[in-house]
Amino acid sequence: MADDLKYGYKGAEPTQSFGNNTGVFDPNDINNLIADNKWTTFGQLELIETQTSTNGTSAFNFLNLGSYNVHFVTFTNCKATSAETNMALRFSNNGGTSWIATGYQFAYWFGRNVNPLEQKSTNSAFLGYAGQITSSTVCGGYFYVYNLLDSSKYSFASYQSEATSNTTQYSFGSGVLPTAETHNALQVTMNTDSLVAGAVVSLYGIRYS
Amino acid sequence: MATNLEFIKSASGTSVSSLSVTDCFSAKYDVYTVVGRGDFTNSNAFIYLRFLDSGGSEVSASNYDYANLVMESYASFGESRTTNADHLERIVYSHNGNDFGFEINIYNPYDSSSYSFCQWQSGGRSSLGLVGIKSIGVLKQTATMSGIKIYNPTFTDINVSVYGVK
Repeated sequence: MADDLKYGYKGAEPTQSFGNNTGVFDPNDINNLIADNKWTTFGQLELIETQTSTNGTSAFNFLNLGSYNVHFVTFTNCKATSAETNMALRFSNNGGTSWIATGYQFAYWFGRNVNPLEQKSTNSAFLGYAGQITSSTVCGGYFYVYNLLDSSKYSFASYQSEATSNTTQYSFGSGVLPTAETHNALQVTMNTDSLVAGAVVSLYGIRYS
Repeated sequence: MATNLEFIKSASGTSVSSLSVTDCFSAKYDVYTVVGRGDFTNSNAFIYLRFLDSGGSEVSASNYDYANLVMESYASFGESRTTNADHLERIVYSHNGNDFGFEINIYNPYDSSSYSFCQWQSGGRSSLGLVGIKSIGVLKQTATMSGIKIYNPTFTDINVSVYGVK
């Protein structure tokens, strides 16, 4: 549409913003407004990528984080190959070439019907643990992850999970990598062992966060 | 058909002692997710929350109950609980320059026949290390709420976004 008829208006054009789009739009207008976060379209939990394990998968590497301030990660149907292990996060500051393996702080509550306990670390190789699993335990849960792409802020996460075997277990907690830098890749991993086929891990961005 | 989280409104501020998100609740949704992040200038402080009533005024009556599990990476966990408070406490515990992030799920705030319940989880960092908080809370008023106010420390920067859950 010619510039002198922007959004169907001649002269002063209406201001566009989320929830307040006024005028007549051609496809280019819509594409430009989407790119500028000014086009109203609902569904702000935006799927970035889903990965599914094969037998022996020990990590899910997400190298594209989009441009979000808050991310949401779900993991379902996670079952260990042979040993007891725990779902966790690691971050990268070089696009996934390597994964930061020191300095994470976390605290979480591990609930179960026998001996529930608090767990904590001031210098861990992982951010977690979210969800303990075994070869006979299936686990699912989620992480909210904050500030990964903000070079001026620490990267935080909060998480919750549930696992079922002979008993039901749950955990919830928070963690941080107290280094203010851009973390441009995210790894969902476990502290030992690997997963059998069929675990599904999805990364979402929360737009406008 | 719209599904999942639907963005309603965000608010942000720098060098402010509070941040209100007004007129973010409506009859369109029963459940809301709020995500926030930022930093503040105070030493080892909590963030508080109050609801805003249908006229946009703070609800400061002593009708709030809450319970928290405070999870520190460097010390034993602590429980806290209060009835008939004039705010919801321990949304976040953090420290000058150490940043924070939180999510809050809010139930029935616009329903004039229901209490406004919420649960939240956060990560902050005191001068000693990570502090995670897991909490439940309620405003015991059967009244329509229109928004929220986040306050207590002086925020260096803060950004809060409200989503309706479909």
